[in-house]
Amino acid sequence: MTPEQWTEVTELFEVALQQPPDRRAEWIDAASDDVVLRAEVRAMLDAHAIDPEFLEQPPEVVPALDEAVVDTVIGRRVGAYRITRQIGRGGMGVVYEAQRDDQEFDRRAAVKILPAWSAGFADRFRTERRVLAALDHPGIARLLDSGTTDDGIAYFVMEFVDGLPVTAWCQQRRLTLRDRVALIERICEAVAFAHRHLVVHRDLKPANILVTADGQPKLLDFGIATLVSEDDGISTGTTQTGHQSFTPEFASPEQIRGERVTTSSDVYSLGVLLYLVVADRHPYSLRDLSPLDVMRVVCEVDPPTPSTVAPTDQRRAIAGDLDAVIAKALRKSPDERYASVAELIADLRAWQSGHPVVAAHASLGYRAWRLVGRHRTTAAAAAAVMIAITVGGIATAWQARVAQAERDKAQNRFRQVQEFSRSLLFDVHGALAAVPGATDARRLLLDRAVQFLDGLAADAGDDDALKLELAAAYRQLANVQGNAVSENVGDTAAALKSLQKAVAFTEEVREHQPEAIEPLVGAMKAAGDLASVLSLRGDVGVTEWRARYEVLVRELEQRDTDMARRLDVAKGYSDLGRLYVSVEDYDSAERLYRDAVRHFERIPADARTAPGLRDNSYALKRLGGVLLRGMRLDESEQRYREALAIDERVIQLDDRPQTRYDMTFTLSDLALVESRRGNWSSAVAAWTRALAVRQAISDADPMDIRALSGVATLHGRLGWAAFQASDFATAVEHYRTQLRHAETINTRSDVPTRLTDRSWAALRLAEALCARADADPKHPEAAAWVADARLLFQTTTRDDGKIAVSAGSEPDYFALYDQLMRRLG
Amino acid sequence: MELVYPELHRIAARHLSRERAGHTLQPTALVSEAYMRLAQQEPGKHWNDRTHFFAVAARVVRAVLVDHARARGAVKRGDGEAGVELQEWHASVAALPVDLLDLDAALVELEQMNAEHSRIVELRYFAGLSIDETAQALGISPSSVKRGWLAAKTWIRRRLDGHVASS
Repeated sequence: MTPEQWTEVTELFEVALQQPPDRRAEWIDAASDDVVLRAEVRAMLDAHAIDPEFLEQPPEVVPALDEAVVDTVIGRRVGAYRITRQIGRGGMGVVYEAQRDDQEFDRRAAVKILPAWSAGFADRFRTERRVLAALDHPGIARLLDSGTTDDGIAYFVMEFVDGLPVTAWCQQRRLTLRDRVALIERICEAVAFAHRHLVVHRDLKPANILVTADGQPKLLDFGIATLVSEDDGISTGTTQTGHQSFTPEFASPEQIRGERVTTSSDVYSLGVLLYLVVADRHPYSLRDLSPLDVMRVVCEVDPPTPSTVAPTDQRRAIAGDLDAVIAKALRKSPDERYASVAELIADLRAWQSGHPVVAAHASLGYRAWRLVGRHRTTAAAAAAVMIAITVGGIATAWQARVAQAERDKAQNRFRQVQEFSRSLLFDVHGALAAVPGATDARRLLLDRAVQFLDGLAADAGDDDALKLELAAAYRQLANVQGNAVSENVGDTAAALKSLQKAVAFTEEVREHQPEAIEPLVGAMKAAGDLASVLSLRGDVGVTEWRARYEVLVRELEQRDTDMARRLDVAKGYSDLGRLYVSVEDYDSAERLYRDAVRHFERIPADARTAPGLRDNSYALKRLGGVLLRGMRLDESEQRYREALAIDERVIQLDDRPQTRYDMTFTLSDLALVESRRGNWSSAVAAWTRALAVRQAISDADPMDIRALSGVATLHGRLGWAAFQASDFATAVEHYRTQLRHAETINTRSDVPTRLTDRSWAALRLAEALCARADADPKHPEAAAWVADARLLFQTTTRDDGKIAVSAGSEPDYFALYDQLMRRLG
Repeated sequence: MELVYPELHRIAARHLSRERAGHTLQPTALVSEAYMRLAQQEPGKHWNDRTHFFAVAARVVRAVLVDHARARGAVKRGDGEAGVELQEWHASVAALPVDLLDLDAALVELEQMNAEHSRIVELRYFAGLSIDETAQALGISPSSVKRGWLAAKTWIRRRLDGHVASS
């Protein structure tokens, strides 16, 4: 056929197929006047009707022993056994029945014949068979003899097991669920025994597990799969994985991928077996799948929960614990499975005796959280110390990992550590954050956490989920380390480092998964946090990171409408606005704050939780602040009052130092609005109320720098209000208190804005001192404060290059300075 | 891609070597194995490389299987003098719904008529790709693959019938 004819044939064939079968011949005759083509198309239609499945299955090659050879084996002697008949043909050879020949014992045996092997095989075979022969356990078919015949045929002689495959046995004997689990437990015991002798089965499946008439399960072919698989035949150098023979339905993901097979692969296969016996069906149906699809299913798809597919009368008994046990055995990653068959056995026993199974236990984090939650105030510090000790213990084990060379165990620990660092940062720290007086305990946790995360990060490899987790953990860590968003212990340099790691991890995951939402959210939050720490430090890098943050927030806004994401977007705009305020771009800030408020308002009231409400209040306050600055006092006051209402609701929902602290900001800013109106008595009342709240928080935890700094600021405000009301004595008292606190803060924190505050306070104090009626014209104390202020100001500018966030504008500062210098001479 | 061919060929040959006798094996599985190995060697490869890979892999599997069938035919007919011992343990290609040599000849003929259709059969049958994967590998639409596949395999089926009838 020419290409043109072929094109015509395919077109005719296609359209003909769409015709009703009885009309096709007629249709073809009408469609073409080329007799040859018509005949071709008709022949194809016939072929299609006869064999529609042609070539639909991939070619399956069964390299098999020729029948002639089988015949020659019968009657042959191998060792002390004479082969009598063929009884089976499996993936790894042909199995014969054999009889011991010397009359000494009348013993039947099974002989497995393997084809000729490569040169190295014979040596390894001799070593291995000694190990296999030592596997003396009632649950394992004994290896009686093995060797190679003179003509190079390798053979294994095994105990002859007269039994049924385990699945058939369960059905035939109508075993109850409990009996089935008990039977699997006995099988597990045999496997655990072999593992203790360092032998892995690698091909556990019903055909290899027979149950004898008296109910004894017997495992066949132990160690043989390993022996066979490792005989690569060709040297592959250092990366020897070898072709592995296995049964896809029972093979673990690592086997399917051709990776190293360990005892954990047997745990997986036992999980499949348990699933099969309990639910009466395979976890996966791999029939008719292409090899690539098999790989995908086994490596990526979680099987349905057994209780959802089991016979209906069994479902209730399986649901819960047994589901959990099977799921744990069937985890895709060996590290997440039972660390050993012994652990699986323990859970099977626990299930049978009605005890809780480990697989269904609450997570470590949950338990730690519960512990702290139950004994909040009294046990908080104790819990933190206990946790620090435990973490230390794990860290030691972690470092010993390589030396230990117990790879499986170490990997299991890796998961524990992962879970632990999560619980440490998210649950335990979260719980401690709610406890006044716990800052010191938290600092201890932080040091451990940094060591830990860095250890984990070094081994993250290609695990995207772990990377996102690490990024979140680093953000959480940074937040505690020094981002002044919540109570903190003031180390912005450390926070910056942590955030850079978080950014790096999220970016890596985003490159892998450009379409996924989670990495985008992670990257956005990390960029936002980084920008805000840079801003806090007055670092010029803030411009770049603010821009990155803005791009990510807008991308998220475009991408998703999920409620949690909408909150993230709203919060993002609010944070961006704040970043613009820090560079005094108030127009941009106002626009972004309004965007944020608008997004918050779109979230229905019943979907609002305390953290969401808090962010909403922040946005309103920030908008109020920008309006106040522009002297749009009425709208400013309105926004603050909206924020105050939300704050009060948040405290009702979630009464913590942080939520109470949040409200003091609103009160303080409302006071500022009043002061701008010249309404000093209202202002002083609001500031006094705010001061009482902050003072209580600070008294409860003297190490909480943020609380102390808040107290200091309010003293400054009250000093200023007293000064404006010409109550200079009160003003002096407030400024003195402010400076005393500022000094304390200065020794504990590295954020330069605090120095600016102090410098201002020193000037104000000098001003108040000078203003007193009894003031000495050359007031020495005032002069000392002015000199101090000057020193502090210089320190600030010299260290930092510029003043990023100051308590007021620089011209005011210099004006006051000059005025005082003139006055004091 | 120079590296792919020998690697694949090696894996394929090993899968089919007589030392593997007794193993059930799907040639498509070796494509997967080869792919996983290459992917490990060169992480970060994208679909472009994958498509190229599968195109080559399908070709190699076809070649290996056909060579194997041809060699076996020779042994059967007795023109090999390698000795009876070898023959006895030689892997046999069973369970195939089609004589590979005939299939190969049909594909050669199809290639002359429509190279893309020949390629579709190769990718679908020898590399085990789905309709969508084949479409991606060839850079054509899935519906084109579907139509081409149906026409091509039906024509091959008919040609084999004709071959059987005429011989």
